[in-house]
Amino acid sequence: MRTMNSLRVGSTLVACALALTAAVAARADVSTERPGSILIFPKVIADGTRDTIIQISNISTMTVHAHCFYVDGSRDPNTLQPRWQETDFNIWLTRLQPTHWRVSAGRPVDFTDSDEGLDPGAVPPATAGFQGELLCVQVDSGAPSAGNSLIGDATLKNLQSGDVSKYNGLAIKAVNGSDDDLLLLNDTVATEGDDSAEYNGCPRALQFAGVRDLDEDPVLGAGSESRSFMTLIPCSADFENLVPASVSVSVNRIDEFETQLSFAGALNVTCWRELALGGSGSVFGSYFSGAPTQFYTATLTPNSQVGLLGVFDTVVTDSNSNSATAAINMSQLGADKASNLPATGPAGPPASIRISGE
Amino acid sequence: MRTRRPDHSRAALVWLGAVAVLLVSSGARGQIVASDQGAAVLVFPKILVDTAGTLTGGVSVDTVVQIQNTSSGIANLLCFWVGANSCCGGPCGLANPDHCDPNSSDPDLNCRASGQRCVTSWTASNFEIDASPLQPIGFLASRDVTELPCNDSSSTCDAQDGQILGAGDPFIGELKCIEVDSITALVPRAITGVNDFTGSARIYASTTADGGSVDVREYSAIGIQSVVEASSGPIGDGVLCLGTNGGTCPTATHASCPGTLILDHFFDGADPFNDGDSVGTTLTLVPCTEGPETQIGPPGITVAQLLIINEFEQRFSSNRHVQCFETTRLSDIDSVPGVDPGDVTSIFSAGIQGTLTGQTRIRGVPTNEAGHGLLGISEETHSGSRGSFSTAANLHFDGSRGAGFGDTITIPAP
Repeated sequence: MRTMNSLRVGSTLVACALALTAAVAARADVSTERPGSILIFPKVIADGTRDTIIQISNISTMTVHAHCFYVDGSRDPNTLQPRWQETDFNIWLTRLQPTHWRVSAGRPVDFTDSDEGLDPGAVPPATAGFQGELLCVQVDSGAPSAGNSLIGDATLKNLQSGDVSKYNGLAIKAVNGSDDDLLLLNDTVATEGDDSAEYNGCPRALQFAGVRDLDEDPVLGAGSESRSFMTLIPCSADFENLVPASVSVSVNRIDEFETQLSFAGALNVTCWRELALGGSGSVFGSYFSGAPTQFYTATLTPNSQVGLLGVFDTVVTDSNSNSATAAINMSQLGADKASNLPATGPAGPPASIRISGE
Repeated sequence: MRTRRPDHSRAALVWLGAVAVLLVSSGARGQIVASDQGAAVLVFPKILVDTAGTLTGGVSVDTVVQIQNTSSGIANLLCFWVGANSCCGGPCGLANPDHCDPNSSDPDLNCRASGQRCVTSWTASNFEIDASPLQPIGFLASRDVTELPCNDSSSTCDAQDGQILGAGDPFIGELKCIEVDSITALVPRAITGVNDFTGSARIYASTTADGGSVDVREYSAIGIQSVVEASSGPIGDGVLCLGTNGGTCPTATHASCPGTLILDHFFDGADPFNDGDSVGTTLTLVPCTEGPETQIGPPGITVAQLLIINEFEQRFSSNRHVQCFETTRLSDIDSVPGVDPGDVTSIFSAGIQGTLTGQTRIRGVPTNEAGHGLLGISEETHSGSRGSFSTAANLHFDGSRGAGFGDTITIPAP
């Protein structure tokens, strides 16, 4: 009897501890620092002018498998439409193992090559002229896994000048994970405690801080110039049916004098898009010239549940035409899951990522 | 003879209660430390100013800081420059302006030429600003800003109080900003229940001689979110509790610092793009526990324990003292400071590791003692025949400091 009591108490103890732990772990966000089960690099370039090195680490003490997808968002020269060409491969990492590869070269399984270390699997080189994203989903025996073990970084290099920039991969945490190939980013709509929450929702909005585009840089002074670029991708993706997601984005920009300029539905992002803020056709171009202050903040709000992710680059050029690039992750508005999509966004199904089967 | 099994149910219930208390008090309310979300405390771990290039061979260095109020109301900040300047023979000051670099192998820069020690001392100075709804504020760390954009009564925006005191020149150290209730009060009070600010820092290094050069790197400020609950409000005693501890912080006012920092890096000397450029990484660490303008005596020491794993899954370990502010090239952690032949025998050398990349896991120890949380950033320099270009990145986080082992930031109390 006492043994039964002890067992019952023990079971209760474990259940309560798990429940409490789950309550603590229920906090899940798209993160540039914390590990996740979906790892996204929004900007990956290997077009002959620039190249990218991907670094991925397993932060757990268990072997981890991941199914990765390159998405080529470069424009088809004939149709001028994004190619949305998907190439996928698998990697596996032993406990706490870091790995890397150069996107233009890939990483074959070859113990005699110059890439020392345990090869993570056969990583193919990206296609010529690649401009797009890399997305990796943690899997276990081919099925999605909720291990939240992946972190990563991407380093981009201008092959002519040697200029480099770096940003953190965006990790989407799994809450319970998915039992099929459709990964729902739905923690905000899932009912607490019913295990229907698969992954966390995408942020309600993105924000970045910049220096007025095509104007004198505040540090480099006369004759210098600052230019900014943003690379955006929809949160949703369908790799199985090769359907590029599309999202309309509203832009709100405010400067130090509280001058606001809002552009509802100003941008459309299909598959992958890199924009020069001061370039022709950009909503930022003409509006930013002549602004009364140099510093501004811009907020990008997706107009549908498809959601939006991205990174921000600044290129500064001095009066002698020397230039350098800095990349930074965008901030996310929505400091808790209540503010993530789709709780405060327009109606519609939550963002999702459909991965192709093995 | 039958032995009676001990009854563990009571002990188990006590344990259960303890687990519950620990979990709930360890920041279970959902606040986190993150660089990509609004927060009540912003930490910029590395700010550099050396416009004359005194310590950088004539390369002018400055930092642009940008802070955004993400809320639709006016929000206030109390900011501290925490300086870690070094000078030959003793603390820097008007009487001793001979700045040095303890990480340099150049005898003129590390004081060895003059037979002196390069001594680091810690200083703190503050400024206060308020930010109107959604307002961004940008400034150079080297300059004072006596007129904020909306200070001027003729401006069209909401009235803005405060001014920015420059960090000094040269300056090496961090910037910490804390959301407070009001900057018009004699002594502002830190507040909880709001997480309004994000920020970023962009470090420039430029020259104009011989065709000039420019290099720029940027990172996001690390935000420490405050607890948001019904009892949120001003903190009367000036003690911000980043998690709980056994003394002054029975309950948390802010999120706990990360349990482990993760640096995903190239080993020093690696040539990852196979183009002849060599990579070196600089790690900067600052303590979570700090008492700018309240601390008596030197800052406490935390040992940063480093576990390095290469691509063969081989493990190495090292450690480093962190007192107030620590910035070091990875190879200098276990070799003589500066670029020297010893770098190739460092465990952070690509030649020693045999792989190009590694994962270095950094913990402030003791982990079972309060006040040893750490934050930091990394900088990576690619050097070769085309010059040097650098990047900066935020470190990754894993877990949080445990309940009872939190940190405190102490500011002057009213």
